[in-house]
Amino acid sequence: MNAPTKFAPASNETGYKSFTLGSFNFSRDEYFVYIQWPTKNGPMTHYMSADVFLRAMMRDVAWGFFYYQVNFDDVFGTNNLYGKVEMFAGSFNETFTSEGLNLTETFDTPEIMATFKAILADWTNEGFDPFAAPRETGTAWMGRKNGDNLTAIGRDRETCIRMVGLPGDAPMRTDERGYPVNAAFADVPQDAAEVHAEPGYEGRVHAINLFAYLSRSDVTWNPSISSAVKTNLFCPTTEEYILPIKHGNDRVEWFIQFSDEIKWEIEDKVTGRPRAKVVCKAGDIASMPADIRHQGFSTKRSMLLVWENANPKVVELHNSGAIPPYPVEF
Amino acid sequence: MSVPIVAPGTPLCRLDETPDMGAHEVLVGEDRGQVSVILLRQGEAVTAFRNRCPHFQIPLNARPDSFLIAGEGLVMCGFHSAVFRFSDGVCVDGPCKGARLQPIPVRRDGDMILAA
Repeated sequence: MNAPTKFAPASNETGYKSFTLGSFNFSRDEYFVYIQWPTKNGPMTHYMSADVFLRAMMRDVAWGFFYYQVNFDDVFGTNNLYGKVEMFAGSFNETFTSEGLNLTETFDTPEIMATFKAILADWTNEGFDPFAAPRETGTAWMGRKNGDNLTAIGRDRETCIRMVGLPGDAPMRTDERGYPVNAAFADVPQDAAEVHAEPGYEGRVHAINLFAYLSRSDVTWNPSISSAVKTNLFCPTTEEYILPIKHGNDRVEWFIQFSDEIKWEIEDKVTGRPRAKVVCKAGDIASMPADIRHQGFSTKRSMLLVWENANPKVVELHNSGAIPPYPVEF
Repeated sequence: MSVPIVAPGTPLCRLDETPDMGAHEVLVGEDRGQVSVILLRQGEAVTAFRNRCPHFQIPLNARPDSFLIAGEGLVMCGFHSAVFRFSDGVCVDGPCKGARLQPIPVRRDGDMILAA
């Protein structure tokens, strides 16, 4: 069992608190986050720009550590073991592992979640929204501590039970509910889908204008769930700038590019070695294998459908080699 | 009229099979009709819910009969950290805050917990 979370009083110079979880120490100043851990050569300190760190931590918290691996960058990240969470530094970076400078520690999920939420709450300044695109949220992340933005970081991933817009299910996004059309999607028609059911099927058929729904997304790189059939999930999202994490999946994940373009950098999940570059244009479909990590880059705000298999049994099937890490054998 | 998730009168488990301040999984039925039920106990009070997280429609536990207790009267989904109250199954923290586990009414018959 690791040592419990500790935090130091706020720095007199910057106003930010420092945090300790297990052997890891976290601190920030006006520009940077510092992650420190012990090595055979003494303490190792890794630096990240504070906005990059906060955007990544926002996803790790909001997604509940997601499917397996969330890399904040090439060095630091977490692995979801579904009940426990590994926190690592350098453990999936060939340079660090070859020199023995990496560290992985395992925590009970509630413990690491509480620590991450505390860091996120203290280090996110007023006016900075880690879910927003840079042009929307500006540079409020910089400088000494200046208030907080608990409302923005308290937003959850929108999820439906069966399908968005069904009675009793997740509602559609509207102006009245605080979801105006994003400026990047001003040209997206907002007409609603028409349903003409055969007699006997009234009330059993449902449809939405998915493009209109997506045009009102108030977040980036944060898939909602718009429809679910058992564990088959349609997770549309809008993307702008850089996916704040490198996601190392434990299952196959499908991407269907609805609009514009996303460039994907694909790396080996264990070593970080480059494996591929994929450019997805509107209409393209890509399958991300279970043994890679990926990061997307979207110059113009684009619409992406992430198709996820939430069935927990596929993880063991991949790990045991019962099914390959890719969906198609060419 | 909705069909109950578990037929009334179905025996679920003995009270002492669910640890105090803990959770216990019971599988009811067979094959495709099998339903996983999570029982949550605080002292003599026992509540039961369909073991299906409203976040991703998957069970709360990654391993059979193994659940994360996230504090007094709170159980956490092992996959993406949604936290539910024992008393009413409402998600009070995590990615589906405000959603609720599907309740399964239960009653006591001596030491036995049965679907009501």
